[in-house]
Amino acid sequence: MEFMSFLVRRVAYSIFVLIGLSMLIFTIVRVMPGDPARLALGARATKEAVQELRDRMHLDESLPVQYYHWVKDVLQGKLGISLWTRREVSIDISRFLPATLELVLFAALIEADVRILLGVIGTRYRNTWVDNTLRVGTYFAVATPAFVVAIFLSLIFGYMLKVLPIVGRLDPSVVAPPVRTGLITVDALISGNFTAFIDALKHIIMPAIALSLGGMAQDARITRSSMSDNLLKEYIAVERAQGIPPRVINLKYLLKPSLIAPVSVLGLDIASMLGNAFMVELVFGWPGLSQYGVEAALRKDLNAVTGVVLVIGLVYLTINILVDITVAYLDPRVRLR
Amino acid sequence: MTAEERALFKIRNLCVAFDLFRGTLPVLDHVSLAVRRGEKIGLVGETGCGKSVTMKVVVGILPIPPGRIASGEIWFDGTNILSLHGGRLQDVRGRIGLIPQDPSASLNPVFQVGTQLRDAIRYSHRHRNLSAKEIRRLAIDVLAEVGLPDPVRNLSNYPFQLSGGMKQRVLIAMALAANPELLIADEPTTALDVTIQEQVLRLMREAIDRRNLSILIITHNLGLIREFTDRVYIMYAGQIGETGSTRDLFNRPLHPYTKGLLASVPKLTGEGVPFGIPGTVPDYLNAPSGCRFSPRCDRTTEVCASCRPEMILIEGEHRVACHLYKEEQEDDPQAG
Repeated sequence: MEFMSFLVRRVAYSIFVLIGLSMLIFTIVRVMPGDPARLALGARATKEAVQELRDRMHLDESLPVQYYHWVKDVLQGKLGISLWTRREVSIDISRFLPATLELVLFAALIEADVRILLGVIGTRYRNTWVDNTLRVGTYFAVATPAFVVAIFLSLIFGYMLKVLPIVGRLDPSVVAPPVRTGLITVDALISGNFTAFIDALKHIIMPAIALSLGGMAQDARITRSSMSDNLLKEYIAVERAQGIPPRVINLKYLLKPSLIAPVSVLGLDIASMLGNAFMVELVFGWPGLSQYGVEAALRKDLNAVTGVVLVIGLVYLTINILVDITVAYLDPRVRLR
Repeated sequence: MTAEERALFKIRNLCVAFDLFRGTLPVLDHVSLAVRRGEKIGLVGETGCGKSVTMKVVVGILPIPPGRIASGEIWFDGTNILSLHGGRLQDVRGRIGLIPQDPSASLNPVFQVGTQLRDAIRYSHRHRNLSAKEIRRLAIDVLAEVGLPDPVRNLSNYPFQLSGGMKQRVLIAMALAANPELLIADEPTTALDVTIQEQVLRLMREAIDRRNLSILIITHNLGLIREFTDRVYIMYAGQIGETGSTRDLFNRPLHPYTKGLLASVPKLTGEGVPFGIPGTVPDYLNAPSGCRFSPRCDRTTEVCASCRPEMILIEGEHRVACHLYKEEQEDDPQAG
């Protein structure tokens, strides 16, 4: 019961954030120099055509009225035509978004597991050479940009060892599974196409590692210090004195409170991955939304930029809700107050 | 047969040191104490005198390193705990229950009260292979025994939903749930409101009498000692200075430190403001090799700082470790 009310509060709060986000995006696009209609139609369009588009886009109305019409369109999925691809922006997004989502999902899965493993190892062997090696490794992993990692990975595993493909999401020789979710690995599993599943895994592993490495290293340290701090807590000593075995204490009573901070950070990491994926997408020829968004920004494709920012914002909000639910699950003080 | 030999629990010549970057701190210096069955024992001393270190060694939660047990023995019912490992150590530890100092910090904040209580029961009774139902039954019973209202509902409450007094009751329940023979209470009432302190003390006394337990209370609260205990050990800077029945110690304190300690308690009659003892507990790094109280003592002699005073039997169970009483020792054939 308490959990439901927490959930309702949390989602209601997100709606306010969403309204704020939409106003922000709307305003940014309107205050940019230049006439959106002229930009959309190009320099060679006639004045009449531009005026017609201005009327259609309600550009001569007051800002609140414009906002009203814009929101109405967005709610119906009408994000306008992309100047660059000449397609509906919503169609472009639905084509590019799943690739990025799949990439970020795998990166997050790798990050979430490995950092706990490294954090536990770092705590178990804290202040020994194992811990110190991990610490130094963290500095390198955090300081190296994802695209450098991406290039190194593809050099080593793609060109030299030739064990992993270096470009794309699926080998052209492999029959692609029918599109259901757009995530090739998931689609392949649904249709039982294991050849495609393995091939998609091989394609995604390097970009996912490159994307997650920095955040993973940082999170491993946060997990490690969170665990090491909690290890000194009075309640852990009391649990030991109560005869609860060390294994149970470490994996249950110590791990759960120690995951609260790292889970919150993981949410931020995933959000920044969404935006920062473009370099990795570029190196691995990954047809994702980040790459599309950067391309659109460089070509001053306002409709596409608006659409991409809006979608990334939505995904970000969703991830934050999921993170908050996880934190609430871990920490009763958050959900019961 | 002396008190020491009949004891359920005894510590003999325990020396514990801390290896820190700035040097080795010899915190506990030849600490010996004993608890007989059914006895209520007090371990008294000011903050930083090594009481909690003693408690941590006994219940096995001393962080090692930096802590190190340099020498000594801890006997429980005929077994030296310090020589045990693994399952056998856990078995003996299960017979020693801990009531911790700060109830608010001693319960895991992200687990329901029942989760931790059930695990405490499950592992301390692990040879009995209790079913989940039996464990739950035991958990409810022991919560009812400590007077926690509505035990069934409180099983699924989180610690932050309970008051300090309720948390202390839960912790006492967790200690009792293992069916211990000895309770170790580390400042059990310090963190509680005065009104709650009285309730918790009554609760502890009832549980001890009903279950015929022994208890070692570690505290700096002389009122609590006088009211609650049969015998007392006075600790100063990791050394036991004096021991005896509570009555003897309060009526006829011998060690200069005990005298100072008793004199610093304000009197209800209002006659005179207590002076306290000048100075503070010494830095263990530069502790005197002899009597550690000697720098603060107003009756220090040359021998005090260099030579550790042995325990001298005065009368009955009253013993003191002080060079002032050396002459009496020579009359006592049992000492040495």
